Amino acid sequence: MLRLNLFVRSEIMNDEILRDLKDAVMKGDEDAAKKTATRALESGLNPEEAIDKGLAKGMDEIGKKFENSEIFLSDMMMAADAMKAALAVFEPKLKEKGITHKRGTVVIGTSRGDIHDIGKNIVATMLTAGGYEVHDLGFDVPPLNFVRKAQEANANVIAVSSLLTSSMYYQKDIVNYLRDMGVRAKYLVIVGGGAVYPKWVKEIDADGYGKFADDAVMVINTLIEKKEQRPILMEGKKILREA
Amino acid sequence: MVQTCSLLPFVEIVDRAHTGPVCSVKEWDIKVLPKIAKEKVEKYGLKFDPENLIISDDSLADAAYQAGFELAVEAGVLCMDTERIIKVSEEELKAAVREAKREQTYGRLSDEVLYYARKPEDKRPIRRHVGPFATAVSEDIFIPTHQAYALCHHVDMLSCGVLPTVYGREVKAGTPYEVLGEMLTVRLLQEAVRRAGRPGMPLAGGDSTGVGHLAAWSYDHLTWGDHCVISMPSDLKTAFFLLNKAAQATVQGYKVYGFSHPTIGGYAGGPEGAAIMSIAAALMCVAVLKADAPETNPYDGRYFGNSSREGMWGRSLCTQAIARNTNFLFGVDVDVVAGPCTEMVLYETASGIINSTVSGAAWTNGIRPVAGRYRDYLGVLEGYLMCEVELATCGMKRKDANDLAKKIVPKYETVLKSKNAPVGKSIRECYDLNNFKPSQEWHDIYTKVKKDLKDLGIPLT
Repeated sequence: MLRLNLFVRSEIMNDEILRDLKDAVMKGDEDAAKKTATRALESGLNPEEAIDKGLAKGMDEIGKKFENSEIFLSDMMMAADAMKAALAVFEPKLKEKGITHKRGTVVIGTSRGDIHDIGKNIVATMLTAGGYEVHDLGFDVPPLNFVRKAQEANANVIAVSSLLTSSMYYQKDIVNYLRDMGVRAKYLVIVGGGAVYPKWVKEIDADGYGKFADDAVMVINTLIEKKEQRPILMEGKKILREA
Repeated sequence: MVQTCSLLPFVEIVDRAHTGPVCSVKEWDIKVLPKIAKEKVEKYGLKFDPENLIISDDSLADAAYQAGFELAVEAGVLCMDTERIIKVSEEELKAAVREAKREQTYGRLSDEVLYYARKPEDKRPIRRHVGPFATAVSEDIFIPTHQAYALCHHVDMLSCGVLPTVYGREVKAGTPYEVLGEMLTVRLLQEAVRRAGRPGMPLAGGDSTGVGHLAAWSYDHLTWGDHCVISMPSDLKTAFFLLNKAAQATVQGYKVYGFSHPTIGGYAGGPEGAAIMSIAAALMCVAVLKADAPETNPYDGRYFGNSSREGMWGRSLCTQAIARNTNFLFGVDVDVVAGPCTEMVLYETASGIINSTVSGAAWTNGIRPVAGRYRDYLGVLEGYLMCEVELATCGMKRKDANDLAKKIVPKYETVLKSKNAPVGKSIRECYDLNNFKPSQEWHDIYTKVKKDLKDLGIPLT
């Protein structure tokens, strides 16, 4: 009976922790997320369960609300930051167990000469929500910086945004650097932004293009699993058969 | 009583970029600005109304203006290079509003044109910036493409495209290619207007990086008759390369067109937040960038345009707020998502132009098919329709304009929301640039839509 009571209490406590993790993400509360993650570890809750049933649930809700325009970009970014803060607490335990929760590692930024970053920020946030480790280099990023960060972070994906035609050309430079350094095959290069059109992907031998933020994420999700399908061009959740 | 002029000198703006309160870009974007914007939206009870695409409630417009004014004073403008906030006091902002230009001439010779501040339902013509509007236009057709727009005598200022290559080389930002490209761009534009028989026609250039801009505005290139374009990145941000442009413009006496497009769904929040952010941005374009003619309106990031209901409502609200409470030479742009040689691009153009004309904008900038994404995707006729609709709707009552808009928007709304708007055709496919005539297909589409718009109630000739 005592054992049963302890079990029930433990389950209740775990449910509370999962709910608090979800709430912390939905409120964008980094401190609460960190504290609850610590509580989760101390209580013996499996970190994978905490991520899947707590943090990820919160981000799913956030994603739906953003899609329905009930919340906006800043709310989504704060939610992602809260999730990252909690993940950082779980990371050592996961490493110990030899488990990775990461779907992949992405280096993202706005191309050199361009300071527009809203679309890039939406994509970065969605990728974080989708389980990727995201290294956001910000805006006005020289092409070599993308390459070096990708090497340093052992990334799978380099994602580049450009709103201006004059900055879009640096996307080609990134592909050229990767090729000339003999590491082209190591990285998927995904391009997007207001200046980028589907034919451009083939012109520069990039791997994918998404017109809208959710297109970009879907393209990355697909290519991470099935690189041989490159290039994938997506607009409004529809794959373009021709550029 | 004599009011003393307390305009903020530009050098003091630069000082404040070095001494203002510290704030990281991230903190600004996700905490500072959204919080203030949300507070103001709630304080003034602003709420998007999908049935009032063109508002006619003056008290709503005035409330939005107050909200935007307070947002501007409480927030300031963040300088991204120093991560310090340029604060402008209430008194300084009022002085900027009071002393702002209410009339300005552009152009030269017989193409000189007077711009003036307008009010909602104003009977006087709105001024028209028409052209490729920052779309990339290939080098080999750059002159005839711009010439095609300049040939329309209703176009007051040429809204210029972007040259993607210079002597076949890619115009890369921040490189000597960009300097060469911008200087060649100006030469080609000047040739285009000359060939159109409008040698003094004013030009409104694209928003290149600092070096490109300074090259375009150097000796014997763009001049005092033209519009010097300087952006204010959403939301309420600036950077040295933009202030550098403003510094040159201030000393040289160039006429500055400061623009900003707060994104619906972005840091400003929904359409209400984006509308008041647009108002705040207009005020700050004048106070900080020293703009003669601010151009700010919400941009619907979900579709890369502003023809949605939210975009229409937001644009109407911010235009009327500014028009009723200032004498700014306030401009708005019409960002459409469909491509040339489609019915949708024309319906989007019509709804957008009716909105800006009756809401009291001094000028409009358009039309950029497929949001300027595809090189050479221009049809010219959408620009002509812009002029025709503006001329036909000057002086129209806002209520009547709203009734019209509610008939036009459903013609494209479903496709807009599907995010699969037709891309249409490039100018090479739908327009004869040797004889300056549309293709038969495009001509037929234009005729059909124009008739439909007339039947709906727009008094087109």
